[in-house]
Amino acid sequence: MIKVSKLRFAWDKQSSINIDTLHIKKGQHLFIEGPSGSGKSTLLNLLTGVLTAQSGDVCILGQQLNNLSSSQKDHFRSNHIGFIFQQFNLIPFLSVIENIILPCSFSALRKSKVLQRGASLEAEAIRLLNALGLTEPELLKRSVNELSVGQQQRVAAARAMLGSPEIIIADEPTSALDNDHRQAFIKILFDECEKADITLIFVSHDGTLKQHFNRTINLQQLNQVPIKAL
Amino acid sequence: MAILSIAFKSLFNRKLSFFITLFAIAISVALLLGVQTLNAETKNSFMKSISGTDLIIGSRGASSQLLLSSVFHIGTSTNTVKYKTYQEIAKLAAVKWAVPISLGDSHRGYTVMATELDFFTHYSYADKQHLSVQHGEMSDDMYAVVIGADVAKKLNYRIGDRIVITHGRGEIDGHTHDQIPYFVSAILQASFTAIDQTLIISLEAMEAMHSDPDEHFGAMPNEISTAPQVKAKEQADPSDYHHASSHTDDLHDHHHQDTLEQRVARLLQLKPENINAIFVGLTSRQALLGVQNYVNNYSAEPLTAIIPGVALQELWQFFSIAEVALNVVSAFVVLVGLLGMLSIILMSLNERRREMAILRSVGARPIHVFGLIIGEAAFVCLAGIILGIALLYLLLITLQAPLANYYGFYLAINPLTFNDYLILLTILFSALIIALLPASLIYNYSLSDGMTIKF
Repeated sequence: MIKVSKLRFAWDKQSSINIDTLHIKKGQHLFIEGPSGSGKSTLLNLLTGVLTAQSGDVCILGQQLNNLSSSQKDHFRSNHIGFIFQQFNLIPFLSVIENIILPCSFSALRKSKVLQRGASLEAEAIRLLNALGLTEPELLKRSVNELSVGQQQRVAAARAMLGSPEIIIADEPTSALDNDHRQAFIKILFDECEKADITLIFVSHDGTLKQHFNRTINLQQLNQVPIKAL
Repeated sequence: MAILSIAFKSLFNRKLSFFITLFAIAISVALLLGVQTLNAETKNSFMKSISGTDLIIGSRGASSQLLLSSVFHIGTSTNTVKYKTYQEIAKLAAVKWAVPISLGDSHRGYTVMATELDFFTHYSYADKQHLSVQHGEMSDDMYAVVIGADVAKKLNYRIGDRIVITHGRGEIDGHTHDQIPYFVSAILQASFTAIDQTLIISLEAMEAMHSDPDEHFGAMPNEISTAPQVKAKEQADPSDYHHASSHTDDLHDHHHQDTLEQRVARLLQLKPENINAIFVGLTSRQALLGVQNYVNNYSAEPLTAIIPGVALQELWQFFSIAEVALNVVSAFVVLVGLLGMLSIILMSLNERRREMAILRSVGARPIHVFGLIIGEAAFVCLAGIILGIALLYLLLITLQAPLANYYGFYLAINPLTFNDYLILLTILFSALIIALLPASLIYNYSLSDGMTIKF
């Protein structure tokens, strides 16, 4: 599914990523653990083709990212990868539904996947919201700024899942949540990913979460670049 | 949901700065177009001041001075032409008509022009339009005065009113020829030329006024003016003024109220010795240069003949400096408007960096993000231009009547010219060029930030 080999990346000649091999299987829930500065964000940007490595290969779904132009990479990413960030995932001037169906504006593939299932974009967005535990209809009417952080993260998760991308990358999605919400959020996320057979890559510095995952990688051990003192 | 609708929602999310930018651009566009319109209309009305006259002849001097004094009644015309010269020129075979005019007197600040009745037959302005009568009728009476529309309105004169003429310009230091009252025989339609601010009398009357009858006929200073009584009568019955019958009554009255001087002058029917200018119409355009040459080399006295169209063009060249200055200023106002838009977009970038990262994460390409900014600038500028045009026409419609009423300036409302569209296109294009700066900034941000949300 995702194969990384001999990946090297440096910011201004300051080596940041040096990974020999990393294989992620389809449907896997992978936890990547690492403290700040261990290169988590850089790795994610490399995996998704936002950054291009100086050397080495990233192969996703059989597609060699190095062979793609930057606009092809953008296109590939929007078709196959959904994202959830730590915070502020939503565009403030769009409604909840508009935020969720946003990827379909850029990915015809994901849009057609939704429509193939026989649902309208809105209906699918509401179905995902319900699945993620946001069932009150009046939530939809509210401005996204009025949602709690937990609700916002679930809206972001619904967006990431819409149109069933093969991979979801979650970059510290729970760090703004308190413990109870964190557990609940991860559980819901897992359930939905399993149902849709989505590969989940979850990045966090919080090692206590790794118990939920079937595979854990410690970036410090994987990455052969020493951590700079911060 | 297309990128376009995201762009709109983003823009309306920043309503206040959007509207401020919109109005800044709209006002600057209205100003720029307004200056263009004003330039064009001023030039138009200037060029239309006289038509149908082939030559204007005056004493030797600058052509602009002759034009200003004879057509616009601006400047003193101390230089004169002998009446005999007029008679000679009128006799030329190539000359179809010739009308002498004499200036130099005023009435309560308005120019008094002495001429012959033929003036009204030959003088034309704009598209060969002749002066037409609004009230009253042309009279060949020696003491009849025809007054311009503005004179009638400002001084509240009616048909039959008696007026006195001052020698020289201005109301204060002029010597009042109050021995000879004139009566208003006709009020002209507004022509939006200098004639609107002019009183037209006969050459004989002017000569009578200047020949200083006091010494020759020994009239008593207080014997003369019957004007107050007539005015009082007129005001007591203002409805009279509209009745055609009252005009004839007045004309009739007038003959019985002639002063001694008037009676003497009537008998003498003196033509003046000197006049200020001659308007000439030729039998054919081919004769133009020949006659002009003949006049310029006239042996009896030094003369200048000008072709009105050419002289108007020359004079307009002089004003074109002001035109250029106005254009430059308003171009800078537009530039300031566009820079305002630039600074508002730049200020929004930091806030929108997050928005862009989110868009990137859901699949927007950097070129989308770039297009978002360019599109926003294009939309704001286009909306500003449309609002500006609306503002301009609103202003023109509002100002048209007051300008015509109070300043005698007729502002024609025309559709935008090709030149205006060119200007608007340039503004839009400049806006797009200016927007390249924030657009490429955010393009680079989104390349380097990727999906990492920076705060």
